[in-house]
Amino acid sequence: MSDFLRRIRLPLLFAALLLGTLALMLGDRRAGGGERHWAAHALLEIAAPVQKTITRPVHFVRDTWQRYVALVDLQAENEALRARIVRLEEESLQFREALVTSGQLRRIAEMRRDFEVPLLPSEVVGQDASPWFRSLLLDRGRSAEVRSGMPVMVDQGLVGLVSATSLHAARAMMILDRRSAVDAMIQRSRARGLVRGLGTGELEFEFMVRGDDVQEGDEVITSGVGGVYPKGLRIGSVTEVKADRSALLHSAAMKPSVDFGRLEQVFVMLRRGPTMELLFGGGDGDLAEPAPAEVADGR
Amino acid sequence: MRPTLALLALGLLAVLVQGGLAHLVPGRAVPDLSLLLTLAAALVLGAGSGLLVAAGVGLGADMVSGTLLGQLACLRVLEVVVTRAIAGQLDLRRGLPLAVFAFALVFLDGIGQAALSWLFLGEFPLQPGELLGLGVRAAVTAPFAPFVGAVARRISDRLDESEARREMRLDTRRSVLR
Repeated sequence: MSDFLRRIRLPLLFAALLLGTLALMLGDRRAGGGERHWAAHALLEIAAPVQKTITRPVHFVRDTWQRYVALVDLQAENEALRARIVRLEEESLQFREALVTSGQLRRIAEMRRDFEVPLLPSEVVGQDASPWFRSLLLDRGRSAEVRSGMPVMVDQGLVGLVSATSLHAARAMMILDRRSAVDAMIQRSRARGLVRGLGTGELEFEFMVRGDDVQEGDEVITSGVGGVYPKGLRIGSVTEVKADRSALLHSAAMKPSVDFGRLEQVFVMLRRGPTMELLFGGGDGDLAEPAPAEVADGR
Repeated sequence: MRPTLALLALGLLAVLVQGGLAHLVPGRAVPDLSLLLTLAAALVLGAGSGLLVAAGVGLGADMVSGTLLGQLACLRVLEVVVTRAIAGQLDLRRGLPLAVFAFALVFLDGIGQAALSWLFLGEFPLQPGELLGLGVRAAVTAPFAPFVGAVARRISDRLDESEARREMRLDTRRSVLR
């Protein structure tokens, strides 16, 4: 008997692991906003500081390179610039003022003023290494009032949605993720549709066509319908309308307004939309990833 | 036992390192270190320990990334079985065969991820451009395979040795006491 058990031990282990992982996947798919395992929270909690430790030295080396080593022409440039210093000093005060008023600081200040909801700045410490899924790891979590279902944005526009939280870290699904769908509209014509992530760096706008409702260069913003994202957040601009007259549902290629490759700091809106509030109730459950797509879809 | 735990810990660290690197360079240019660790564990450890390490590392990757919980774990477990089956035919202790096999495995892993996503999440067609991206990822990952394999082997050998030495010391003490 023990010989028999020893012989089938490995196939049993393999079958148990395979069935276990399949069951986990089914459970995660069906959870629809249920609480994830404590181990997931723990690992997320560990991941943020570790990834921060990894990215910091690289940022330091990159900054050092850009500031010092790459500037081999600095000496020559310095000589030329010396002549202009006097004039520039006079202008510098005006430039500084202009920078403060018209630069990024002003945009962020305006953004924070525009939204009555408090915005929490958070550092991006990691990104999804999976080839099919697009998510960010943020260094703020439940201790900073970050909850699953809260929108994430920058001054350029919408980034995504918080999908999981631990005490000091959170994961946000980007709108580029294939499972993301955002109810959106064309700012000019108010034509409504859905912005879907393609899993690459691009987005797709699906809409029911009516004449010239959608044109190249049109700005696409969130519609506020669906109760996930607030109305009026920039998503991107239409780059190509795919004209297929036979289809009822048309689509347009979109370029996101946010440069996702250069995200270092984002803002988490510290309030969930009504749908997310209904989905999670007063609880703090994590989001099973497909949920926002379905919610935004209205399915 | 100790080599299994050490490789599991190393695999989880690889998952975190990958995430950090993906923030600095495009995702496709990041070598799939956790997959390489799984591959190495499958070759260095016994089948059972290899399966456990694979499941643990896969679950860790699932928890940190945006995949379905269990998706990468399932693939890693299957990859251990495939690796051990291929190791019976090819000498994967040598660098070149290992790198070539790692290339194929990364490719299969990507297709497996897409297939499982399609199965559990619905629509998930594979675009030709994405296959190219997978190819790039596989090409970036493959050269690291011999190195990761060697590190895993060294760790396993060292911990095995110290474990054996400890057992021997205990045995000697027992005989002295007798």
